[in-house]
Amino acid sequence: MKNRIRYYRHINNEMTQQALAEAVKVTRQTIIAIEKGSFNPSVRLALKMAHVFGVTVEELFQLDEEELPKKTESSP
Amino acid sequence: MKVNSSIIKALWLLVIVLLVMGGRAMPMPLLIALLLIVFFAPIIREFRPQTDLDERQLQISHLSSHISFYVFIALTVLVMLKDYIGKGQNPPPYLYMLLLIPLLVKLLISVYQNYDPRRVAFWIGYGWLGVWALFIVLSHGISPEALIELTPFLAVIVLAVLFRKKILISGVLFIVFAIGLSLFFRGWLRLDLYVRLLMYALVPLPLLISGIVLIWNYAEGRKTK
Repeated sequence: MKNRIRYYRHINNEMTQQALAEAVKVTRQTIIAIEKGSFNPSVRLALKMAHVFGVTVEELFQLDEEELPKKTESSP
Repeated sequence: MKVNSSIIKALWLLVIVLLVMGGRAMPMPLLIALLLIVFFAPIIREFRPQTDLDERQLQISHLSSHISFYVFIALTVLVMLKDYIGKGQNPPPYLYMLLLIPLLVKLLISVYQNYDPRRVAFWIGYGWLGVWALFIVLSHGISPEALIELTPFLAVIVLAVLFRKKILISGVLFIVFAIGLSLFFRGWLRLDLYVRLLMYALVPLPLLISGIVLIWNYAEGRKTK
């Protein structure tokens, strides 16, 4: 899973990992792990992070191409 | 606050190091006190009304506990094997207790977390009663004596099936039967402490837990109405 946390921190006045961690009530190590892609946050935490940056969860996190489920014929 | 928490973590690590390095040489009261600190400190941190651990820390804590559990089981089996190979006898009861009670707890928690708790409570109740009924038939054969001994079990199964929709009644029924069994087997109180713990964990406990789960479900259902 890819994420754009580093980018959104950058465009939000170089928000520090610590500031983001405090805003969503987790530790800085957790933010580091999420940024590196070694920890997948829960939907609740992803929503909180997206809220801090004022974006949608999809803008912040994207699945890699190979992770996406195959579309069936009935799916839109 | 952060500094305080770092000091607490450092002290906790120090206690573990002390235990590992000097555990055998320590006087028993000190050893027990340190073991309690090592055991309860993380539990309190995890389960106090609102944990200060975030979701990643909780995941790490759960994974480390999970792996520790398997290490514990593997070590217990190793001790049992060594005992058997060395003495040619079955291991002492405390080893069975150490092996079986944690496995039973894991099984119960896993099953209750995986499936609808109400359904599981019934599975355990029926399954448990069925096993005991089978045990009676196997030990007495099909005889009038077996039939007399089977009567209370069959009565509870029939009542539980009849009151399947009334989970409060089924829950109370399971609890009453678990207490009744404990009284019936009061002779176990004379057994070795470890055997006693094992027997009570294997016999009335699953029924008691099933009863509590059913009553809990009933109370939750009423709350949401």
